Amino acid sequence: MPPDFWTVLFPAVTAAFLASIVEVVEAFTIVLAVGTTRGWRPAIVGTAAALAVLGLVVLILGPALRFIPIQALQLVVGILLLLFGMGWLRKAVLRSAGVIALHDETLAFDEETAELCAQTGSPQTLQWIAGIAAFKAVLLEGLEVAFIVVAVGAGKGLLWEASLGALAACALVLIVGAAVHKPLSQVPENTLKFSVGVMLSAFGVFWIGEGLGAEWPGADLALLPLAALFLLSGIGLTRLARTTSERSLA
Amino acid sequence: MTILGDVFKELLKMFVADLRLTLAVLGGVVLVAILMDRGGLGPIGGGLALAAGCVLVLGEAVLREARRCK
Repeated sequence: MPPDFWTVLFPAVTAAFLASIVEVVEAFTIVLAVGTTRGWRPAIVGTAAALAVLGLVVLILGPALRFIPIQALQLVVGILLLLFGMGWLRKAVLRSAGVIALHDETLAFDEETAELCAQTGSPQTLQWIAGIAAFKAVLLEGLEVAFIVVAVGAGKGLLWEASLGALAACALVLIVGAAVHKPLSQVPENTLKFSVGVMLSAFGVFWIGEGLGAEWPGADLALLPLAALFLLSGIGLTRLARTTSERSLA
Repeated sequence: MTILGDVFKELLKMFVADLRLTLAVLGGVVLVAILMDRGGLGPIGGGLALAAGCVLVLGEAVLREARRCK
């Protein structure tokens, strides 16, 4: 086992895996709506094309980042990870506190199905529109996964490991989705989003610090207290936001 | 073109979900960088200030939204 398994490798792969589950579940809902409304051919072709584009992005961008000096790379990637992670954490806290509504996969499925059914044209045109809908959904949801894989992989040279985490999530969602054949609304999306937000925020702060020349006590081990800080802050803020929201309503 | 436009919108949304939060984080990083450069913060203090600043920024963003969505 590598010495930094628990502090770097495990959190990086876990973040890629959990973030991918969130995004793949959302993409799966749209692909399922396309498949059940217009047949599986446009759904599969659109999905495969989007996955190919995303794979290309990771394959080009990942190795290309190796040419950037490590300190500058850690600073830029750290800032992007922190912005992304804190964005997810903020949204997850607000959803947990009941300030904003939880994401509803069944509703998303119904909306996409209604939109597809409202389209008119020849059967070929309808198939084309359905394929584009699947392509767009997988591409847009997959962008966040591609970013996390590249960003998490770039800082510590874990591109393949992070990619495997993301692919494992895709496989898991596809297997479960194919078995149940309906939107995966039981997946605790907000809890996953909260966890990924905590991990990415911790990675972000850690790498910005490294990029700025900060010294972390315990080196990589500092990731654990940083994650704990964001976790506890998130839990505390959820309670505070709930109280604030209830007081505003009263 | 619509797909490309949507891709750029999605990329922007990934990092600027809340403009004030994004600007505050960037401002905080710049401030810590300047303070570390001028000796106002040591190598350990810089990291700790960064972490504390992020938690404060997150708290402000959450509570602002909680008050706004009454």
